[in-house]
Amino acid sequence: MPSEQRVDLVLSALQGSLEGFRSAVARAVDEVRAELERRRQPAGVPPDPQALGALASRIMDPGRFAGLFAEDSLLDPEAYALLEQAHEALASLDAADDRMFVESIPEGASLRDAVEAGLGRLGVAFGAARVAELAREGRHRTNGHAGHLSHFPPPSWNRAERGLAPPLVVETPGATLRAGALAEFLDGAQKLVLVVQGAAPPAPLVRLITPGVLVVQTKEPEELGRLADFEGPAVAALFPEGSGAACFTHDPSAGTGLAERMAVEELPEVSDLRPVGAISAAQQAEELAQLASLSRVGAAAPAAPSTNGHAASGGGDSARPADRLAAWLLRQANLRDLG
Amino acid sequence: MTTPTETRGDAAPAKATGRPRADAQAGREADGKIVHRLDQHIVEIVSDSGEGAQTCGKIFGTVSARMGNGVWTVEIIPAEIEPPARSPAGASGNRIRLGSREVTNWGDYTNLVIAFNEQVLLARHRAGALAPDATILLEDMWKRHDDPDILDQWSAAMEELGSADYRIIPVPMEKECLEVVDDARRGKNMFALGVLSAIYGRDRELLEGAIARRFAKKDDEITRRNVELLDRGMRWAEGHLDFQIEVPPTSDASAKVVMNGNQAIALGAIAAGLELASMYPITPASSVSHYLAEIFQDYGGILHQAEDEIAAAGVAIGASFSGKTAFTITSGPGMALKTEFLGLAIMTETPLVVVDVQRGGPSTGLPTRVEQSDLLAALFGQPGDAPHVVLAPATIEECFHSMVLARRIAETFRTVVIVLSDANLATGVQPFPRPEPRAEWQGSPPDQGAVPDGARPYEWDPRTGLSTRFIPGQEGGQFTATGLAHDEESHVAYDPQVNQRSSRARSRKLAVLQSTLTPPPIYGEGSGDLLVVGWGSTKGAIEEAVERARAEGLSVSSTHLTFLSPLPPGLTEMFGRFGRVMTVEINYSDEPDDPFITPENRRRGQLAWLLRAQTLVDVDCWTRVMAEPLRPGSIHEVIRDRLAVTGGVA
Amino acid sequence: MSTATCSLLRMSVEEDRSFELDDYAGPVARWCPGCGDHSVLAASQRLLREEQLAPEKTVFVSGIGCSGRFPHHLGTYGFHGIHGRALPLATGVKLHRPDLNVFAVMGDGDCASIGAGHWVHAVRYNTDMVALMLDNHIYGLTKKQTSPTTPQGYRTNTQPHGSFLPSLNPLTATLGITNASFVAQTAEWIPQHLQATLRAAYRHRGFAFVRVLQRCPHYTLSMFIDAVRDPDKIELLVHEDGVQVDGLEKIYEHVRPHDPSDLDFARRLAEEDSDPEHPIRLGVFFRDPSRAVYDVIRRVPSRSAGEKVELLNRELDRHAI
Ligand SMILES: Cc1ncc(C[n+]2csc(CCOP(=O)(O)OP(=O)(O)O)c2C)c(N)n1
Ligand SMILES: [Mg+2]
Repeated sequence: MPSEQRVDLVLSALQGSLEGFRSAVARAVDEVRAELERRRQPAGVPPDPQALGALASRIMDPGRFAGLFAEDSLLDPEAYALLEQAHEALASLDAADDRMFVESIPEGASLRDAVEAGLGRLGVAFGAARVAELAREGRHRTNGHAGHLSHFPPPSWNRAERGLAPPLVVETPGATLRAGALAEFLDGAQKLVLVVQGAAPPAPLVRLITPGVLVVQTKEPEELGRLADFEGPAVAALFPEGSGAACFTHDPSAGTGLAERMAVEELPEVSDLRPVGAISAAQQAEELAQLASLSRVGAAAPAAPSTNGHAASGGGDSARPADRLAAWLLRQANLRDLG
Repeated sequence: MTTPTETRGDAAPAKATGRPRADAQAGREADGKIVHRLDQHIVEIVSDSGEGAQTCGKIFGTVSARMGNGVWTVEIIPAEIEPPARSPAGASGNRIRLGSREVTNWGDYTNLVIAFNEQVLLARHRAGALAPDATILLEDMWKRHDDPDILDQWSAAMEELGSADYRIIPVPMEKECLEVVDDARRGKNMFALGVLSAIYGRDRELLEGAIARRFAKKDDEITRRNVELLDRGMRWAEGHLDFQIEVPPTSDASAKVVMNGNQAIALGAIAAGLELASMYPITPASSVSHYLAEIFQDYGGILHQAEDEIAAAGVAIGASFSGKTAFTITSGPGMALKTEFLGLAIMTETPLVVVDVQRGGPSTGLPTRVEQSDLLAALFGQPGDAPHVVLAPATIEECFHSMVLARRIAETFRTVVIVLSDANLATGVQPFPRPEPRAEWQGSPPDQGAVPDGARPYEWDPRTGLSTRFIPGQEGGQFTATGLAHDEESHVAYDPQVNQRSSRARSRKLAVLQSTLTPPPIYGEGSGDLLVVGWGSTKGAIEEAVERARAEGLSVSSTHLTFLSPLPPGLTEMFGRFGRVMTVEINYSDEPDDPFITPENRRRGQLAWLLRAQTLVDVDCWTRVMAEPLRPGSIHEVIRDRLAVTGGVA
Repeated sequence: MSTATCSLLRMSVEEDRSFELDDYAGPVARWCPGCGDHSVLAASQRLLREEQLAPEKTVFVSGIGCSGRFPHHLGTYGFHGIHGRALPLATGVKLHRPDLNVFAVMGDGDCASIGAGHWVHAVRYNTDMVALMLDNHIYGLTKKQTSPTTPQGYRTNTQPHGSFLPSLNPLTATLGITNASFVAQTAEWIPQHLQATLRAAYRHRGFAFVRVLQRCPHYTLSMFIDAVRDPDKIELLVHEDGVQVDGLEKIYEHVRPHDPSDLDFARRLAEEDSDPEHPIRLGVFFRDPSRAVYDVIRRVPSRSAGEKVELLNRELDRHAI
């Protein structure tokens, strides 16, 4: 199946989270538009006789009606201009099709940078909303917000915004698949789907397994529907059919024990591994070994509470056995390329 | 080609309606038929309920509207759900007034009827619905029926009908239909449609299209058979009738939609950005909710059928309090029950739109019939001083637009807006200019921005009484709305100063709204002998009557009020320019010369009562509660009477 | 997914906040000293802090009565409505704004007399909210008239020779209504139990009906005096899916394990609660989180103004001539 088509399938599987983000954007467009309309009157634009409908235009004086509120809705020109820019930024996100949720990695760029670029582009919704909010309350700074309207990446998002994080689909060559670098994004309700092209390491997402994060490696696009249903952060890699990749799911909502959360459907042999790009065979072997031990250890692991919506922690000394296990696994992993 | 001859159709019922008789002098020959060219005509189709007269009427009305005629369609509704066959109580169908101009009301008396049996015809005769010289096309199978009872009924009916000057033309509907279908009861309506279409020269292609649309959900065979019946009806009329009627189309080619007033309210509500309707079923308001139930959720709207009328109001107020203005739909008895909640909305300044589709009252009254008797209750029905807005759409188009205005006023002025429609608008069907919905009518989603420091939930502007509403979700705006007397912070306050101040603020808002209104337009000259004042659905009939009277040279004008609370400005001055002022309404008033009635105890029409109080002008009235809309002809007579013109209506 | 009312604008300035009891405090309550409403108010404020509910996202709706004043003393939004009609108002709030936390507070006359129709239907709608019936067995505000829950024989100003009829049992009534999903009883004078019951009610998704037995210091003190003084007059219903308070069993020795998913048994337990000789049962009688929740069933997509205009134009096409 061509990558294009797989991306479409992924987008439709993610519909639930796309819509959540989209309707929030649409609503924000309405709010800012209404604000612009309300604030326009004092600027000398004559009131629209149709603003109150066809009946009113026959029996009312729309000018006098609008005049009732003219004074308190006065907004300084700078704030008004900012509001307009915010509206424009939101409206263009609102008008864009679902392809806006897709990012591809330019030649030589890193996976992490591509994710940041994609989320920063979509995050403009949050940035623009912030500008609008500041402008309408008169708390904006002169020339202080232009950046928010072009690029507003996750580190700037607050908790509420992270809870409404836009999903992102990244088309990535297997050779750039350094998944460890994505841990920083797996927070709130963030959903990341990597559509893998070409040769790839077999179990790159193993290192992202942490208690609150849904992690999926699969070859079936439909499998990704569960990302949209999951409340916390989630990451998935979709490998081409017939690739030698492992298939597994770590689903925090499936239960409290690691055994219940881990489901390994396909575990390829460790032999004949070859380096993929800069990812060494040894590293790949290690990831596979970890997956193997997770599936084995998982069966015997003691129960752990399910915790959703927390940031991946790259180690630390959590008290729960499963958390400790995950932390250990991460420590075992090759951490050179993290961050 | 012969010259077309005009026959005035907009005057009195008896003469000028262009009776299509073979011996009429006014007419032109076409294929040996006399063609009557008229500028308006009223046709009705009546059957037992279940025989499909309504379908026939609707198609005829729609096709006529498409052909450019002005149209006003009224449903003839049986009193019972399953009336016995062949009974006057079961008369069901449609009454369609066609015009060569915009038709604004149902007109006077029916000029042509097609009836499926003599009993339903009798019902229409007894109701006084038919012009004395009406042409009647009557199914003739009954006069040869095997059942002696039916034969008796037939002859008794003929005797009763004989008192009028009808021209009765027998039509072998059953016989003709049996050529196409096995059960003629399932085919007569399309045959009848064919007969009428031939008489009025309806476009065959439009008819076929309308039939296909009507039966789109069924199989093609059904459509084919119905078209065959239609053609049969057309052929029969061409072969057997000696007349045709031509009502030329209007010249107005602007985009139009056609619907009834309740549909217009439902769509208007959506256009107005209302997102929650809660109601309890009541005639004649229910069909608003039926329509909304079909489509509202697609627009993100919720139609909530509450456990009772009171809860319906409560749910709407709760929703309004927490976000966008909501609305409730009801009729008189429901208004009575919602009273306490309306007071709460007014006291807490929670925006609310209430639609009252008026019916006959008091109590259960006349559920399906028109009346305008809720005006004073709508204005003053809430205990305590409870100022709020009341407005009344006068046309089906205004039913749509009044919702846009009502929502906006409710929100801007933080108050209750009652929209008074009635059964005449609710079921009347009329084409009107297609509305162009706008995004800004939708209003803003509820503001969730933090409230400014120090702002209070009832920061009444001392001049206007207006204040900005806080909506749950707005940080720093937390307050408790209360129906108890309260101060600017919404704290319960029994301090007399606070009560005086808050009452003033709530009342002042109406004066402020009034300052944005313009004096109502006058139909006719700006001064003269008589000014007729109306409100609500009587507008079309009043203006038509005024036009007829003016054509006779009488010095009469009319004005129509959309806002009843506050009243529009300039009324006293306007009334001063006329010798006499009277209202015309569909509610009860005492006749001045009735026993016991004196100028002091006379109970006047409700608008007259209001206008007298507000303007100190001695406003007279003429009202009727005949369970039907007013006829322009009757109003015309009243105008002549008030201006003491002697001699019959010409 | 409904985000109909989730505003990006607001979200954007949202700081990570945490709330203290003070954030939930309103003007000082002016109920009589010793009135049970005080302790329910305190427990509600603790619940709000425990659950960290944003005060501006929380709405308390009430009717009329002493209990009706409840929202005025909170730092949340409130709607002090009309007598008997808190539930329709609360339903309207929740239907239009599923994102808000909704509580309805009613008196016994409010809920079970003038508002009884709404009560039945609110239980059936099973809209997600907590409904508290503050049951002092009397009309407090209007000064000692018989309420539906006044015990038979008790003298009031409208029935001075003793109330005529056996009192209405709100628990059996509620448990008899189709689609009931949460029915509990607690007492204002056992704060830990009250607190735990409110928590269970809040965490239940659906209409959580809680009858709070409470003293009116003026009119019904005597009714509860035995139960307040003698722990033997109380029986706790305990279950991990109901209410369990560590240590409470030490004081209240009558403890009955009861699985709240058992409706038949819940009805039996509630029926026996009518018997004045019987200890008063406190705890969750019934809970079924799988019942249909009205505001969930009725959730609608959110549509922007532009989309609505487009849809409307299409609808108008259907009426076009
Ligand atoms: C329509 C209406 N009827 C009557 C009243 C008078 N009234 C106010 S509170 C109340 C009864 C209060 O009793 P309850 O509901 O038990 O509340 P409590 O005061 O005991 O908390 C009554 C009858 C009213 N406010 N409104
Ligand atoms: Mg009480």
